[in-house]
Amino acid sequence: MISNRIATLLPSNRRNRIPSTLMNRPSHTSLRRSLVPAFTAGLLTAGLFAFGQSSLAAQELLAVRGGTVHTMKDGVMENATILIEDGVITAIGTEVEVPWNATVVDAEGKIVLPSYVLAHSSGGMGGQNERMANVPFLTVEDALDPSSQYFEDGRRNGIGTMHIIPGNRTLIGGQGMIVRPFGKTVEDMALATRTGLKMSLQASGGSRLQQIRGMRNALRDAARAQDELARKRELFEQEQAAGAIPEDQEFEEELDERQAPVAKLLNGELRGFLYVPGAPEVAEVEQMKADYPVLDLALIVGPRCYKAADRLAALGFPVILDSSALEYTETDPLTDEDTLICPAKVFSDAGIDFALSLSSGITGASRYPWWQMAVMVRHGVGRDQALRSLTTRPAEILGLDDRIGSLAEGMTANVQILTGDPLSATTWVDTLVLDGEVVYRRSEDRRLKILFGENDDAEASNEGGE
Amino acid sequence: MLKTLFDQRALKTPGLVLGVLLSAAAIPVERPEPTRSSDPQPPARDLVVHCGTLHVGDGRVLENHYLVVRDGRIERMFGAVSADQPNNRAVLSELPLVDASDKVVMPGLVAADTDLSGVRDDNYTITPDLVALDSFDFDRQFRTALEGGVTTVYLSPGRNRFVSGQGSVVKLAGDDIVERVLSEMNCLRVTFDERAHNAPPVFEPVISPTSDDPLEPARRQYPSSRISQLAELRRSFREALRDDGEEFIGTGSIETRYAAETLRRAARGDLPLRISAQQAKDIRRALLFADELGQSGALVIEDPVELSPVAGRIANAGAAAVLRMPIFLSASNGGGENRLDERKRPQPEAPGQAEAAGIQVALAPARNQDLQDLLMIAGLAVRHGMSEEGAIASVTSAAAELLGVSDRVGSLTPGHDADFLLLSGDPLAVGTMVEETWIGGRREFLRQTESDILAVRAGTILTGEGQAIRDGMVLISNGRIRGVGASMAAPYGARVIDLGPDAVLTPGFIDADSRLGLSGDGTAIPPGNPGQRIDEVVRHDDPVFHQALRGGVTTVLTSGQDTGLISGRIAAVKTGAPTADLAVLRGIVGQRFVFDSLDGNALKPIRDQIAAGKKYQEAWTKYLEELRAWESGEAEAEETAEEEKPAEEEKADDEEEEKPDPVTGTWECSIEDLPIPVDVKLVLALTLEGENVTGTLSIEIDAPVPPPPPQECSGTFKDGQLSLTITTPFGNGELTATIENDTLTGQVEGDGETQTITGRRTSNTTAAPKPVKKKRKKKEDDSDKPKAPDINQGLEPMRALLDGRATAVIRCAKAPAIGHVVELFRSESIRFVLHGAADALDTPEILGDDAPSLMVGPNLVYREDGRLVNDAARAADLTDSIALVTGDTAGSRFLPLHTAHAVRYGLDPTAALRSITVDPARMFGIDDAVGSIARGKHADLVVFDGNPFEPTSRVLMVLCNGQVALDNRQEAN
Repeated sequence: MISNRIATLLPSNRRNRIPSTLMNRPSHTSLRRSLVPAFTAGLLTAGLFAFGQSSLAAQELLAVRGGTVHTMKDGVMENATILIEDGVITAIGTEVEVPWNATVVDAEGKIVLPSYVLAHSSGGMGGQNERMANVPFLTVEDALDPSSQYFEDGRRNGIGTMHIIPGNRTLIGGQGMIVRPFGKTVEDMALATRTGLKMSLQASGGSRLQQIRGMRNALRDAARAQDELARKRELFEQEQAAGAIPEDQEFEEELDERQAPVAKLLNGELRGFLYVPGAPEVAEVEQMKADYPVLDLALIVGPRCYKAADRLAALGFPVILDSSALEYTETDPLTDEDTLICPAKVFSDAGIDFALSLSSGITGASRYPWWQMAVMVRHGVGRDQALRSLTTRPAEILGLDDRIGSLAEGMTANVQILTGDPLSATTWVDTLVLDGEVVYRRSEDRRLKILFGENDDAEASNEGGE
Repeated sequence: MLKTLFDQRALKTPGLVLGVLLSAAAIPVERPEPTRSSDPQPPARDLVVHCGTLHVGDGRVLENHYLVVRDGRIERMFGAVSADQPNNRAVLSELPLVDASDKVVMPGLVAADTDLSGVRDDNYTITPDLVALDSFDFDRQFRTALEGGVTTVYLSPGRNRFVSGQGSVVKLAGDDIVERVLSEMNCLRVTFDERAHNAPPVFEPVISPTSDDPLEPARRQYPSSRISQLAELRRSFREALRDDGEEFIGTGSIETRYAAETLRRAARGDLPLRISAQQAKDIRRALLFADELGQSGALVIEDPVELSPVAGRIANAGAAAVLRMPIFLSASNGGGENRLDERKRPQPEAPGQAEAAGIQVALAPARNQDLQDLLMIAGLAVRHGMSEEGAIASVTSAAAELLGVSDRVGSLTPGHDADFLLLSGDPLAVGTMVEETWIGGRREFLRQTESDILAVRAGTILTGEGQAIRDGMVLISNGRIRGVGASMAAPYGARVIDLGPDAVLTPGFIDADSRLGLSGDGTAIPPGNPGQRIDEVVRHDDPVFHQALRGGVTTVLTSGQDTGLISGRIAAVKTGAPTADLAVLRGIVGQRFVFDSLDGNALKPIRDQIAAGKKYQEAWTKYLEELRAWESGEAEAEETAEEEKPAEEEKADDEEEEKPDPVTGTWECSIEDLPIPVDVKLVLALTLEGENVTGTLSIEIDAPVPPPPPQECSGTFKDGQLSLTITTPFGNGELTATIENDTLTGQVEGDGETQTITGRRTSNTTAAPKPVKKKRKKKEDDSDKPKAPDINQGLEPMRALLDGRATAVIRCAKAPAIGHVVELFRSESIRFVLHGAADALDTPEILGDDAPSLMVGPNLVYREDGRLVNDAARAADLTDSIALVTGDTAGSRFLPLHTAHAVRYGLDPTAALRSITVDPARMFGIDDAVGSIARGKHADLVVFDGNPFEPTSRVLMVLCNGQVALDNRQEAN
């Protein structure tokens, strides 16, 4: 395990170079340990962080026993046991034998789900956006506050993975990172950095047209800067070949740091997380796709987009619903008549397999997973899709569906144990396991105790269990 | 010139966005359907429109033509005369027909300037690369504009920046977005006055400032004064042209980075210029700049408010003008007279002046809300000097041409888009509304007519107040008159009944003394009685009323036969009421008396009645005051109060009252030795008056059968013995019983059988024969609630008289009697009318100067002592207010004829009309509802085909409560 420790202490960009034999990793590595190289190799060239030890010692063997397990992949298993070894699920099923030395978490009569995954979230930063609009060079690593109550709330709500990225009041707002809502430092929490560039078509301050124009100009600026750099490099190489420049001299000019992330975006090397507030802006997304065909986007869609659901579906980009897009009251400007619309249902009918995002505010129902899923189901979306939109689908959007979002052998052990139906208001998260560690127990939740007191807590538990 | 420019442009640069839209449009787009009528849409956009009047848009106005639409475009048109030609007949049988044969069809309107793109001004002041279309919301529903018939709009890219960007032209509805975009990059818009000076300084901080690349203060933007505007514009264009051909590198200030291409196209004349210039000096500079570029012919001047000084120059340059006109021209006036300000405010004369100078003009609404009134804006331009054809063109073909889209919209010539409107009348008339708006062969708007207004037009309206309105119109809604006046424009949607120039319209007539409705055809007129509930007796569908209606009598004041000193109560009844609840106007409007004694003491019964009435009135006044106090005290009593307020009398029926008399009250009796095994209960509700007992008998059966209706019974009570006769439709029965301390024992005889009954009094008041309702009420009553006095129907008319709600009618003839009566009622301050008063007519002096109102009839003109006596005329000479009456039943219908007869012999016709309309209404206090034609009154109208008092005149139509109760127009013709 010492080599593991060394690995985690090293800067991530150097760690890539450590031979795997030296690392001596077990065959089933935890997400934390495997994810960082995956991202650094694939997407990141300049990860800034060394990833520290988690504050709790990892449980070597953990068994979640006797629960009703929603695997989100192979259906529902009654009275099943999940065996977790070194942060990875090694066995799952009704016939699993629990070794004598395993720590047992009793889930009898309870519901076991993979912990939720948020593909888009702007909480935990003490402020969602920089005031200036065009700031692609910022990253949320610099803003994340591990002591934020947002993460504590996240654990209480059964969230195991969050993609933190700047908010919607921006033009190009900076880059995001994937964290787990547990840890004392940003390094503790980090799973991957520079995971995407936040962009927004929401007119903030000016008009829709200005925002669109700003976005076009920003993208064109970067494209032109890139072209200019390529032209200079070509010139340099020509001169080098002609002997005007010494052989050993390297071309050192780099893209302006302000342009670099946008240039990566244009090359398809960095995913853009684009906020689309309404149907008129969908036309601009279509325009962007036509202008820059390699653009890799995930769309965060606002409630007014429901009118363009079919066009969104045709675009083919992954879709993440804004937390306000569950229920939306539209007022007829002439008759003043209010119509309640469930954009989630409209998107679902259009065949869009979307992910949900939770409101990062500290009040309001839309910050609860059960509320969002239940509202969708009330408006006619299937339960399966509702559950998928917080588990497998966001994991797919983040490219992590081979590790998180469902429960199966070989998957990272991110497991939540619920007292009842995940769509019910009276259901509580009983236990949350991340990377094989128990990171949350309701019985030890001090804030809940202050809120409810001991007895009420027990009562709530009974109600929830039914 | 414009058109060629646009064609060139279209060839050279198909817009980038358009390309995207094209690809997007390949995907079938499903959107919520716009508001449409219930009848199904034709699946294909192929149809034939049968147009009553067709404004083609190129100046032609055709009558009775067919417009053939195929695939959303006009294919051809043909007249109804050639509808029989084989190819036309084939089209008519093949395609669905839109019947607009009673409507006016015109091209969809083109608004040459709107802010519908939702653009706000950018921070930067030179932004040629902004395209208004980019922020247009195709999914929005533009109902207001479609309601006004606007199908195509120009989208402004913003108003207050120097070079605001490029305008676009789109249609307001349709599923196919590509088809909806008529012109994406329509023009380059420049602002030429103070508005362009307000751009804020822009702050563009560097990310990591160094000494080489320092943080600089916010940069001021030019132009900041009028003098630098032209210079700045020339500089921008020059620089754009200089960059031509070079690879452009992304450096320099933001606004110059991507602006070059657009400016270059404008400088070369590939993109028309549109310059907003309000004042004459700015308009001159706009013309100068366009001239420098060599394209003044393609120049569009937006919003030239101060047009007249430069109109000739604009025309000479060949430039066009878009005038933005508000519908409320005064709305921008801050108050006071500011001559300088006038130059900045839209002038209604401007369109006319521009047309006169020969400028191509398009009219646009000043605000987005005014889009629904674009046609009216065109109409206002005509009022201020524009030609009608020019005004219509300025919102259709001329506007389309000015925007360079006349190849598709603006007229209905073959090959153009099938964007047309169905109008209810002439395009520029005030009452004309767009009923349907069609875009590309689809109906996108259908007006749901909700107006319930009826407009009745007649050559003469006699209001009843002595006023005559020539060529007048009465507007009616909801049963009441909404307005009366000269015949002007009827509001849109109103149903118009035009009765022609000869028709004379008067208020419905009032017969102030009638027996109508009380006795069928009048063979058995019941005796009058103050206690009669006439409102309960009268049936609104009684055929006798219809006869009165035929004579134009719409209101009768009906009462029983005069019986003696104190006769019947009078109720006001409508003869043509459309529903039962409207039949009785007032239950009590008066009380009749007959007095002709020479002895003043003989008035004693009347005095007694008045005294009793006063007592009764006092009891009620006291009760009502207490009730008011109680109600205001009871915070939560709102509900009960509301329920009970409207009908005090009915409520009083249900109230209880302690009354120490041995009989009055409700008695519940059980029947012994009944041959059937059911529990049957007799309920007697009795009232004792002297020795007379009246009341009802009802039977409650404890079985699931409907209980028989309550039966009337009457009889006597003497020495503890009650004897009642029960009248039923199947025969009469006798009840005899002994009453002792609230218990009753006795027998019922009837139908050959005798049954023994025993019973007890359950309450001291007569209960309404609906125990359920009563019980509920009782529960709700609070114990401390004031108790209503017992209703005494016999004294109710007197109470109404004393309250001033009713009028006493005294039939008298002899002078002394008249004197006594006048003295008595004057001293008691009771409103009264003398009926007959023959001696007073003979000797006017006996009434003095202050003559009371007189009622005359049924004999108005008769021969006495060899000379003709016209009582009506004599009465009219005597007093200001007379009522002519019939005192008849079915004869009420002849009242107008009797009046005509009196007119023939000298009655002033104006007074005659008053005497059967407004005068009797005033006498009886019902003039708030009937008697004259004025706003708020019941719409009771009579229409004659001539002077109402000409014997040859016929009743053409009678309206009652706003409904046509009688329509004789067919017969009359």
